[in-house]
Amino acid sequence: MNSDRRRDLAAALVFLTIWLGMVLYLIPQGVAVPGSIKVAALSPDFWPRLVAYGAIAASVFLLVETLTMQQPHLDEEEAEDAAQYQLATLPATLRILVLVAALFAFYASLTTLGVVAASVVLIFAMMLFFGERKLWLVALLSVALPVLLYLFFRYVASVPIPLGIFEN
Amino acid sequence: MDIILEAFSVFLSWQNLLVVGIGVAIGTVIGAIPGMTTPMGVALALPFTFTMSPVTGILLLLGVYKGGLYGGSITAILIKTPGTPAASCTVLDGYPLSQKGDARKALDIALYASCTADLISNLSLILFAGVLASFALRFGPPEFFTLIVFSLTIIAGVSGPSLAKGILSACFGLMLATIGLDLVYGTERFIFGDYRLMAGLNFIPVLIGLFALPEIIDRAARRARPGGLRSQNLGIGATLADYLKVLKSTIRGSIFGVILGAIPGIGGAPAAFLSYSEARRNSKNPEKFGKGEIEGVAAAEAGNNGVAGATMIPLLALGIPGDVITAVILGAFMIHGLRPGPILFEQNLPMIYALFMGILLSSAYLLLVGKVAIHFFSRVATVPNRILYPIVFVLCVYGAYAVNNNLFDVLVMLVMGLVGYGMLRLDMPVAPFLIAYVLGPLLEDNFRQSLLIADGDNTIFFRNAICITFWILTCLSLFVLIRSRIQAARTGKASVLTTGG
Repeated sequence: MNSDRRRDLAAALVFLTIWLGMVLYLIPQGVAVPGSIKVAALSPDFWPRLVAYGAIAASVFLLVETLTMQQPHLDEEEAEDAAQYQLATLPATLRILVLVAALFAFYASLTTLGVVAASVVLIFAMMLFFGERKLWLVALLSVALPVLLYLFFRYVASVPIPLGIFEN
Repeated sequence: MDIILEAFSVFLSWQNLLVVGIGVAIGTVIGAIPGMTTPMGVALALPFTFTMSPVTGILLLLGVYKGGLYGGSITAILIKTPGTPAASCTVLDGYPLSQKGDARKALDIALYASCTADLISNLSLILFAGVLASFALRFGPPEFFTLIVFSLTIIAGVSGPSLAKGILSACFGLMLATIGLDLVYGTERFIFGDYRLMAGLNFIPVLIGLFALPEIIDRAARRARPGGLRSQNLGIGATLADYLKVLKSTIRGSIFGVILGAIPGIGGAPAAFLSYSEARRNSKNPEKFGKGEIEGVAAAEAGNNGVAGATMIPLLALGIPGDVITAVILGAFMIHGLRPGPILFEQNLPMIYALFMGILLSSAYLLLVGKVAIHFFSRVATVPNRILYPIVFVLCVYGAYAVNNNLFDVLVMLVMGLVGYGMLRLDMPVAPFLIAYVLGPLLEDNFRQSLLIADGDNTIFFRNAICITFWILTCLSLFVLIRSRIQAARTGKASVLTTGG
């Protein structure tokens, strides 16, 4: 069994679990249904249930598709191209985790640092992380862009951009 | 006549004349940059339209759309790196021409074919949208419900190699759209006590998260690509004789583009490949295709650009977006409190005509921008992703925040970015997700209204020939999609139809 097939098989099982969980737990818990409803199909939980049943059918279909059908493959050239630029699995996963954690840390800092200062720090760090080595360029872009966007949104679009502790 | 004069007064302002050109220029740059997609560009441009008038804002987005479709061909021809999926067909003959020292000729032919196809597509939009809208005035909730089911089926089916993944993607979109207060009873759905979810998730952070962030996250796991534009001899440009030689293939490709563009979900890439293979089949020298034949470049670009005006037909006439870009444009209409569809034609015809005028102008701008700036744009296209993506991320943050002046929308964008990245890794198409998310409330509303009218009787969904036709079309497309999937499993190659979205 190749890796794409294993991945799709796992995905089908995960989706099946998610959608069954939706029908059995999330919809009964998350959708408030008024007491007296004449037509069942007009109930607020009818539509989410219908969608969930459709998704369960599609998950089963994906399971069958994965088990019985061959995957259409990429062109040889595309596959080679994709493989050439893919880093080894562990460092790649680590780098993605670091980036995602940084993005959420950025979000968490927005209320204190404000959008502009947090963006300056993030662009600077992200460009270095992605491999840019011209420090003057990184510094210039990471300051100029958030400030220019702030000026546009604040004075042209009249959108108040939060500045956090730099508000005054 | 009064309506046309009124439309002129709506359209003729320096802002409108300017934004179409700016949009085309931005779109061309974005289309030319490998790693940036046209939907990404349109999504990033959307927050800048909030303060504009509806016509100006929508024309800016349309300019970006058209420029993006063309821009993909520049790097496809010069460095064999298509800026958009549809431009991968242009590579087949464009790059060999470039290698032979005829890059300028290939770029010129790509531009002329794009402009011709764009014009034909725009004229079809003007001719057919009104007719379709007046027909759609007969539609009630059951007809709209069946039409949306049909559109979503095709979009789910053709957006990726697996129909099941397409449907699952659409189901996630439909479910996400149910978050908020119930449309009929006003009761809570999936809010779990968080008041920020009461109005549902805003469309723009969802869109930006799904389309811009996954590429950026994925970049962290890749090596930097070497290369960039070498200084090369571009050769001489195309002559009138060259253009006339490829005119037949250009017009044929444009017609393919118009037909495929008007069907929800198909998009530019299948139109480009179909147009290319037909041009090769009808050519006196089919053996030259793939080795640097200008007719191949013209056919691919005509098919690709022929969809641009046509995708607006179902959007303007029925309110149904056929692809992600028209879904963003639908979002722009909604931000201004407007809903495309037959009612808009009845109540706001001057605005529609003003949009048509701007769309026609965009074809002329495309020619101008393409002619003047090929050199400049091809250099901008070589800006490395390590600089580009952090900039794009910050644009995403400002854009997501500016929708409601709310930091919660930035969180929504981040979470949707993770969802989009997961879908990218699982090879699941995101287009059905987003379009289902946009159409979800409309679909549910029409479903429940139909049952309310019929007092719960399901047969209302088969009440007339229109409903039955849409059901037959849905079944037929499911049959074709499943059959092509089985064939793909036998041959091991994905169907040409499943490259869109």
